[in-house]
Amino acid sequence: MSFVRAIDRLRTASGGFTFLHADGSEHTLSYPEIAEEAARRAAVLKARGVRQGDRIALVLPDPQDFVLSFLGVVYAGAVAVPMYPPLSLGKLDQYLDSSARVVSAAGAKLLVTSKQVETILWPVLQKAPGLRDLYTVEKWNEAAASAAPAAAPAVSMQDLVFLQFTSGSTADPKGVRVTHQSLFDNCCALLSAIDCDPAIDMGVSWLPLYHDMGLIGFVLGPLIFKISCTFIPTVSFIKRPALWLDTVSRKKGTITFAPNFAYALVEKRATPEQLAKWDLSSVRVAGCGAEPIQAETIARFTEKFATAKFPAHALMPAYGMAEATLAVAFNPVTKPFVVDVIDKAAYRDHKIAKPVKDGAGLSIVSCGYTFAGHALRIVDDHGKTLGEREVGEIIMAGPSLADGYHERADATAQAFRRGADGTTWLYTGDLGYLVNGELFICGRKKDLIIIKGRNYVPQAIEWTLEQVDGVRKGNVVAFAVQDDSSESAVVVLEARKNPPPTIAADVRRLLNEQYAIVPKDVVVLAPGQLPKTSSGKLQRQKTKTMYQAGTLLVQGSRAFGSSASKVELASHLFRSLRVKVRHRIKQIVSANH
Amino acid sequence: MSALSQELNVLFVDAIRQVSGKNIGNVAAEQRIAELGLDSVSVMEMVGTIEEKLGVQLSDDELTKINTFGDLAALLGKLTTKAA
Repeated sequence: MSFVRAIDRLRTASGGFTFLHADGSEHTLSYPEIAEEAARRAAVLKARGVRQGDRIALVLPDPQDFVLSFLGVVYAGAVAVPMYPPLSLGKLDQYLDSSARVVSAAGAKLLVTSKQVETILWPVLQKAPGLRDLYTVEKWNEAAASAAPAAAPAVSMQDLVFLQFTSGSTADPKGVRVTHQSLFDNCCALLSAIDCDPAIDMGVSWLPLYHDMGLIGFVLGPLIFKISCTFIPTVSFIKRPALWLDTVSRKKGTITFAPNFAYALVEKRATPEQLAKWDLSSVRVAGCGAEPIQAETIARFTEKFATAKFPAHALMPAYGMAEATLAVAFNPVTKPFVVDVIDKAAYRDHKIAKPVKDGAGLSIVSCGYTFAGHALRIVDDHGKTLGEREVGEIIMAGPSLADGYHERADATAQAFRRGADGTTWLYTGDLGYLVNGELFICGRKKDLIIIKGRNYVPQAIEWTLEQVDGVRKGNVVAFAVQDDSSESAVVVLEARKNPPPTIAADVRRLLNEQYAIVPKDVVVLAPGQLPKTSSGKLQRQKTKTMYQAGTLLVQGSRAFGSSASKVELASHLFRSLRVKVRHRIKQIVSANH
Repeated sequence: MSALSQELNVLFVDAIRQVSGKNIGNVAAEQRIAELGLDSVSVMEMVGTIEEKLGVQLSDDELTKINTFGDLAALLGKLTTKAA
């Protein structure tokens, strides 16, 4: 079923979406109202010259504006390009540059935004030459009120619904091509995996709608299956984390999802009064995805929220990525998730996940099974299929795979590879192993850094930091280390002789300004101290291993960091002894679930 | 260093402590928020804490224009006068 057909079917559906707004007000739209509004908005777009297949960028922080606009674009036969709205203080220039790059990569002609955000977005029009106009959702609303609804466009299942640009890395944005077919097949797979039932289910989400987990998991999937949902603006949740579970309690939500860090955050913030007030007994599925899942976070969360009647079995680890449309594997809802404790030495030296009986090993959370009609394999670097408990790259086949990256044949050929039998396999870049078909994820093949659900490519960070006065060009290494609830970035660099004393502080400032990253540590070394290959290439993983072993500094290299950062380093080294899983890095700029 | 009003200073310091556990004692108007050593999620949570205390709301476009505590103070001043 095409997504256009899914919108048409809403005309006779019961249920609907409730939208919370930033000012605290709340608005419910029934499904027939939503379908009608989509058709009216589509008519306005067509009258403005939008044609089938045109890409329309959406920068809309309010969930109601976003959902109605997205549907209006699709109902006009055009392709939505969800983009992230400004989400942080300052950093306007970087935001505008990265927005322009996404608009250009998508080839978007029109950008829809709110009147408020429009005031800062005008420069994008100059920076992205193909973009012809900005259009505000307020004007669109007004025009739609008097427009006759458009007729449904004729679409094929291979046509695009939207382009999913992945968050975080902005230097080289790639848009995943989500078709009507991949969207429908993945939504069927994931919603039937959690036994969704329109008669009883109510989704509650604060997830950003420009990201696949929020957009497909709570907007598009529920619209296809007519599941009612309540939306909280992402910024409102970040400003007031209690709003999430407060809304779940108030709306008797049954399904919600969030990255690991959010579970850690609400666990830390919840007060005894809130725990006494909330009733979370309605929750059936509390999915955890988009970044590495930590057994301790989940355990602490379920223990604390037991007071608020949160059912521990509802917590569901999940794994996915935009290239697979959204979901790759879910832990079954009926089965408590498994934590596999494996031998560290066997994992490190032989890439074997050998179970250990006592607690002294790496704890790996199970992400369950892939869906009917899909297949998972673990392969080595040569593409050879590995056996049970052998660690290698996770690859996936099935109808959920997206149609590659938009106008990026190179990147598409790398990630979507055709096997000898003609099947296309998605190379996820993630490392894991299988036990009786159950998937365990233990890291990333490539050096991606994931902080609070957002992905950063280390090369981009390294290039940026080369600008800092005193830094030797080509001698900066950035990598991720596991922190309490998410990953943190560590930067190791070589300084020229007699660098400015502020060099470490300057690195921190630039990292914060450009990427909003607060590094866990900045280690400044003397020339020649970074590990390199014989051909002079940087070695990120080796640098990380030496950093964690404390051997970067004891090998006679000098550190110029402030004494504060040395104290931090000491405490880090102590903590790193307890680091459980080294989550490595994924090549494709996308979110994991 | 120009000083913020005692009231705002206490408000900012409390909000920072609440979201990060850091006690920074005092904030100057010139202090850049990005250089506090808070990640972007904590910064936004700090803004939320301040908004709640003052009963005001900063819009997304206004937030992008804030770099220092002085900027934040000026914006809050505008909003609270309007509200009063």
